[in-house]
Amino acid sequence: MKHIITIAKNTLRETIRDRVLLSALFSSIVVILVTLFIGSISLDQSTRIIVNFSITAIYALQIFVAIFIGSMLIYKEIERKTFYLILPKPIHRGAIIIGKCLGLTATTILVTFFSTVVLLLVLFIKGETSYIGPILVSVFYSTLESILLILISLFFSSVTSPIMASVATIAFFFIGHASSIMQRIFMTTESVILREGMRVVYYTFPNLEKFNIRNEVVYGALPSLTITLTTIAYALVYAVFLLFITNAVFKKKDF
Amino acid sequence: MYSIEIKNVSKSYPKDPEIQIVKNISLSIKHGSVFGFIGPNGAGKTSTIKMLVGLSHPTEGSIKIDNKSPDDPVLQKKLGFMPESPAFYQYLTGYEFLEFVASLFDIKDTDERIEKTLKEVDLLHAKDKRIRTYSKGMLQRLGLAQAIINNPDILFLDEPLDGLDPLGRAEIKKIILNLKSKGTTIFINTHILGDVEEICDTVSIIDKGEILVTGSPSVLSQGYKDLEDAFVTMIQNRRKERGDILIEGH
Repeated sequence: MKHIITIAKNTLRETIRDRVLLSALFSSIVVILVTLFIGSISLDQSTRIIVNFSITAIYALQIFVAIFIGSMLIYKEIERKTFYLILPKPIHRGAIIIGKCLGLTATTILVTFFSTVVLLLVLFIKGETSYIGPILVSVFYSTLESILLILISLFFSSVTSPIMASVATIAFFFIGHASSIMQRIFMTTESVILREGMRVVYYTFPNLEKFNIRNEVVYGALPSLTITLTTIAYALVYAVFLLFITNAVFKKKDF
Repeated sequence: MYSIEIKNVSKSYPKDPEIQIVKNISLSIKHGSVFGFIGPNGAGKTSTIKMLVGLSHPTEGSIKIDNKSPDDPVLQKKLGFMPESPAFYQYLTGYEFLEFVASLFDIKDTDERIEKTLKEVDLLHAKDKRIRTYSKGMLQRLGLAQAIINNPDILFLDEPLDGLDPLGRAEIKKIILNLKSKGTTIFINTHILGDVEEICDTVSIIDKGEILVTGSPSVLSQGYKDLEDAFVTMIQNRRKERGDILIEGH
């Protein structure tokens, strides 16, 4: 556990220095502030517009960190050969993967925290405190999604170049969001190949739509505790599966 | 008693399985000795040392270090490795980097050990400077520091004297000789032959993945002007046998 924390701390220290990350955080905060003006030109929908734009901006920031910084993480260590100093030390390769994932998750949580605080301040100034709870739940859901994407990008980062890893993770992202709708569409088709093919896609790729409650939040609705617990369990199972396969690949990798 | 035992090890990469980078090599290195693995660039030295420290795995054959597999964490606690041109996290200071390494070794008296190691490699004055500001010589010394911070029983050094000026080389050699006097088994990859004669008890000459000869530097030099002459002649003869094109003038 100590080794995992050591790697996680170092990953956090490395990623928060990334200028791209700081630019993304800055852009997200700017979007949240700009929604104040966009909201003010709409009549009675002002708060909904602020909430809708802002939680989407926070979500985009999380996805950006997971896909683009995650895709670079392992590859950079291989390319720069910094791994040559770590791998021969008494540390399991699996601990490195878990540490890297935790470090980047901590980075995501940190940037999410800053942008969420800005959003809550905006709402507080406007006197719209009723949205705070739903926003926090929505941010929690999107954080779960970003953790899965971090693991997917780490897997690809350990087997291919950052560009290929980003492309593959983006593909996972889109398929993950479209798979439930596609499955529903193809369920009615007469073609067995299409129907069964879609079923395979649906059960292989993570169903990322499970983490999307942004539309509900805009109307102040919250998912039930059962749904939330099921979603957490789903994320956990998928995360363990992703860690398992990334570790299996990484363990056998030659440097 | 042998510390390192390499038996019939070959290495090829999945992308090009036909090409063997290391071809059926066998070596036994005695406990407490300094072994020099010498060969021209691309001979297979780094590929061999990577297998010895668990960075890569042999395609065939076996490697035992103190009767354990190189990626056994119990063994890794007793190993030190300095790669060729070590790369660090540039945003850390020398001290912070060693702190990071010390925590991977579960070293208890971290501060004391780091100070002692930094003193040993003469980097104490630069401990709070960012690594990005270090010179090549300082980076080599920091590379050596991270390799010896755990007081290793067996130390692997890949081209530790490469790219250093005479002063830097003398400093690193002094540290290696000091470790040798303490009984550390040392495996050095190098192509700087003058230093090999000074430091090593035994050497192996490797070319194109094959070990040509193994013996003490003085024995290998017999019948030749010096070790360099022996090295060049042996490699040329082997290449002639293989039908390779020879370098003009040799």
